[in-house]
Amino acid sequence: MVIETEILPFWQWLLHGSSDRLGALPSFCIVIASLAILALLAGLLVTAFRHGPMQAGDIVYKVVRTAIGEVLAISPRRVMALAYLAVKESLGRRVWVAVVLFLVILLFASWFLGTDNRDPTKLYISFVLTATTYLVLLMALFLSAFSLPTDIKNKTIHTIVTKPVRAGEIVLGRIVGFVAVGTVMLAVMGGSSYLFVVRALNHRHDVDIFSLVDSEGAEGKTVRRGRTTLVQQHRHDLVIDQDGSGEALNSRGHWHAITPEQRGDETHFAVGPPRDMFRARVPVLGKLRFKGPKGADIAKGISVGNEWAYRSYIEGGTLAAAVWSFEGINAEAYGVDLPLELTVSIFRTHKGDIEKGVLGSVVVKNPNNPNLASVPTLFQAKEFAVNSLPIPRQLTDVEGKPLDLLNDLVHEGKVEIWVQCLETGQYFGMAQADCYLQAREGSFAVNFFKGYLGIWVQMFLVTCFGVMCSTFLSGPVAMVFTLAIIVVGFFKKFLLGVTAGTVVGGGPVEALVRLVTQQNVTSPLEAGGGVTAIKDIDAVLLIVMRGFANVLPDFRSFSTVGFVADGYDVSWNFVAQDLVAGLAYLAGLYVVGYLFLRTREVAK
Amino acid sequence: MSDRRSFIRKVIYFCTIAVLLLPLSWLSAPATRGGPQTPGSAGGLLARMRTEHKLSQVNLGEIDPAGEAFRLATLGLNGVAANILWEKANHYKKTEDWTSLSATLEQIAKLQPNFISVWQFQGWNLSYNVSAEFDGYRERYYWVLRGIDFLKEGVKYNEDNPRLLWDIGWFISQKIGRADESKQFRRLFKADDDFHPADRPRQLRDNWLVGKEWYRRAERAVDDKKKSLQLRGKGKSELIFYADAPMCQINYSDAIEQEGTHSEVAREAWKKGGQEWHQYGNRPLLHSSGYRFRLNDRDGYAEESKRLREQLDALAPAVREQLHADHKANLPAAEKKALATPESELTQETFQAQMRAQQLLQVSDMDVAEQIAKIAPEKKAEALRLARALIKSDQEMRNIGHYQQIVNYDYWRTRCQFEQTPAALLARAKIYQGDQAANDANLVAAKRLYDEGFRLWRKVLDNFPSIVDDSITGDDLMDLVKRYRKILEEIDEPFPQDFPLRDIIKAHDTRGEFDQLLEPESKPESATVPES
Repeated sequence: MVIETEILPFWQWLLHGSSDRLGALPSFCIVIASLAILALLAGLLVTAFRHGPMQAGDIVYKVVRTAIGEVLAISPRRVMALAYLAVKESLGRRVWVAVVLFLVILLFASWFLGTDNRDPTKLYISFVLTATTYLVLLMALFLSAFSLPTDIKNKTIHTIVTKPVRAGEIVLGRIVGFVAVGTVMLAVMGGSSYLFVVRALNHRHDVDIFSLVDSEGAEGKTVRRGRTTLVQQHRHDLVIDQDGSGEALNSRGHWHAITPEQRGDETHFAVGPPRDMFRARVPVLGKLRFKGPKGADIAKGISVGNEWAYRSYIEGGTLAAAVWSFEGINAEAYGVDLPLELTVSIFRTHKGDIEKGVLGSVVVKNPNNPNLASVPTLFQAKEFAVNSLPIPRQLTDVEGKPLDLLNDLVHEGKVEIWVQCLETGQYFGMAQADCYLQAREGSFAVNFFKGYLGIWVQMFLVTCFGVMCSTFLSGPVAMVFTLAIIVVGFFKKFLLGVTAGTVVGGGPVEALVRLVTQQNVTSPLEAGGGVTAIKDIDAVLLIVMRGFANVLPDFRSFSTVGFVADGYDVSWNFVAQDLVAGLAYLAGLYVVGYLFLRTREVAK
Repeated sequence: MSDRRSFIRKVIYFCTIAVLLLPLSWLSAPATRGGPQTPGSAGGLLARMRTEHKLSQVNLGEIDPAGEAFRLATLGLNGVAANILWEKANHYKKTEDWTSLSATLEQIAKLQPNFISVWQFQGWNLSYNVSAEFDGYRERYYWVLRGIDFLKEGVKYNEDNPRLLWDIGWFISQKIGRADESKQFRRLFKADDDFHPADRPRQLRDNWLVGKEWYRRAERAVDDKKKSLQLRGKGKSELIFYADAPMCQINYSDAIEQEGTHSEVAREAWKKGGQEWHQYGNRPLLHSSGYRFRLNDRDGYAEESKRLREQLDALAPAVREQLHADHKANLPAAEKKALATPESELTQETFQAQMRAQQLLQVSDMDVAEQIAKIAPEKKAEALRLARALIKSDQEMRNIGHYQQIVNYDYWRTRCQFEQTPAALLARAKIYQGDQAANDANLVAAKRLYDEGFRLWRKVLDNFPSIVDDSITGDDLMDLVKRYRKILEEIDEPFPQDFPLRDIIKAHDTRGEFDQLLEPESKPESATVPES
């Protein structure tokens, strides 16, 4: 599980934000206020030119007063009636073709995907969610951008505006109607995707009888070890007990139960369906801090030169440690064991013992009294895999004295997990989301639904933008404009990087000059008379870009594909943030759309 | 008026399209098969060029409906799509998302299945770069095989492409057999039922032998199917290309000995290695200047030069010696002095002077021929003919010698010869057993086995004296000597003064590690050892 941007608790996200970003609500208020002031100024300026400065204030005041009244006085009945019309219009424009196209893609998807991948579940889930996203966003784009302009062009809008409806209701009705159509399509796509993924990956093995050999198992009992047959490009090692029951061990992220089956006089082994293939682990994340090689607090671990600086590293054989602090630990939330799961990246500076993983240790400490600490639990680290290290309730300290996890090591619901690398010259790489407590196993179906909810929010936003743009632009231009918003939205981080100067190559004009003159992006722009002018123009453009980038939605942040595909539960907290963000955009775009439509002759 | 102008414009468009269709049909008319009565057509220019250069899909390899559908779906923008996917692949590699990386690579390959570099580059990426990211050797092995499978997929779409076939051979032989984890990789490779075909016997499940099979397939593609080794103007040298299959056999022989097989199997393996190396030496190879030569011909040219030189010298005996003496007498004073300076007293200046002197002292065959022409004009024609033939023969010998050095031809030829002798096999077996005993902490037994091993090595060196000065064998033997020294240190025994391989130490102990252990006065030029 990779979480590059920390997910804040809902209320903190909404009101306070974090050290590097404002709360969502204050940000929203600032943006709305800024836009309102800009709109007022622009309105005053335009009106002053057209009607003279004396009348400008009066006209703007009247418009604002009417707008506030109309925006707030929405008739749900009329909105629903307009939404119904939008649905009918959508059906008339054969939106169902997108669903048929999606089903055709699913029919042939297994041609491209195959099952020989190391993690086919991730691949299949990523594929269906990504394909759905692109199709639905395109559908929403075409539907929303062309609707109003077509009506205005064909003059069919007059059949509506001559009725007692407000401009805002027309905008809202369209949005609701198109979102309803998109929702139904998403539901169909989601259902068929779920069936596709589950059915395509379901498989059964047989026990390879010739591979079975007797061997010593736990507690000195004789067990039979062997392997399964090859199905979907993989097989499992297996262990069968004396009673014929057993387990096909984990391979490609799943395992199978084996049960004895009597056929006549012979006992056969039946291998069941895959288990733990579709997961929704609910992780409880802790706060990560680092200790340096001499045991002192450090902001980050060591960089081992990876281009991707997501993880930082602790040095083995020293006092360096990664320390996670967890909260809310109590007997009710966790049963017998503390289900700790850990992912580590390993960096070796020497070959070491290649047959074994690098040795690490986990120590549980009382955050209030560091002397209360469990004896280190040793583990051989597995890279790019989840190391499951359940912490038992009853522990001992280094002197062998018994310690109770909840009574001795947990202080006010808080506990610390210290992870260290024990081998000199080897390093462990860690990030905050790499260590978590698995609170419970969620429902995969529900998680899949949450993944689709993320796509729904994106579709909702595209519809809102499309309808808003279509209130003042012609169909094709509105479509291109909305498409630009989507593209910029998908590359928002990059755009913010350009405006902040963290992306090399300069602003748009400088980048163009470099492109044409084939200059390296990292070296300074070759001196010349125009360099200052280029920099000055860029400085202005970057301010505009920064404004746009901050206002537009970050489409990638709404995507939860990574969580669902990696088998982690998408928290309702995250879903709620997405939905609230979507509603905030709706509110803003509805008002903007209303104002633009009001300026059109047809809607007056 | 406006309608009329619009109509005229449409007529112009239509006419332009019609005119453009003419060259298009000439260029792109498809080839047609002839029936029993009617002759077939070769098609337009593009169709003819496709046939001529074997560029049509059916000539390149398997046609994949999924890939075709994928390319169609990009509406002709498959190049752009491949670019985007390539960027994504780089991103996934950076963010260590291996599942998505491998899926993306497959998509790129489906978009451009006949772009050989894609298969080569990304196959390498999987087997070498991605596998190295994993800590566990089993995971690494899995990714090495993913790269090999990726290349095999490439061969399906590009049948008999020697570059891809050779790459598969390289990955299977070198990546599995030479990696840091080669011991573990070779073990996993042997046990990998899913990789090997069911009819491949277990003893042939060796990465070197399987790699050799692929190299041989690449050779057949070039020899029998006349496929080119060139790829976008860059070629692979035939010298290197054809050396790999026999080298696989040699490496196989070496590997099984290192793993403890010293029986008849090892002898046969070395014997076969020698035979294949000899066959390689007999293969006509392309020289960079365009002609073909055989590595084994160098010995023939050496004999030819010797014979011709004898004939030349027989025309006027002692001329060569006389010329040499004259050159020596005419040497400038500084060079003469430098020539007389002992090696231990040479300075940089005198060393250079000595080099110059040696150059001046050289007597070429043409010098001899010209001298003969002066003193016996009736022999001039014959002497010049012999000198010219000698120059040609020497040049050939030098050219082949240069190529031989690139593949270390003589070393491997000699190695195959001595490794299959009973003494060498037994020597290796004793040393292996000695290592096993040392690992089991049975150091006394280890010393005894090492002693027996070194005595046998003495026999081998006596039978093949040329390997004493060979640096590769010398370094290998020095490793054994150092291990032996360590064992002696641990059991607190002195290094024996009658050590059988003193000549090896003398020749290859470049750091002087054994100077303290061996008394200088007792260092013989060549040790003789009593029979064990």
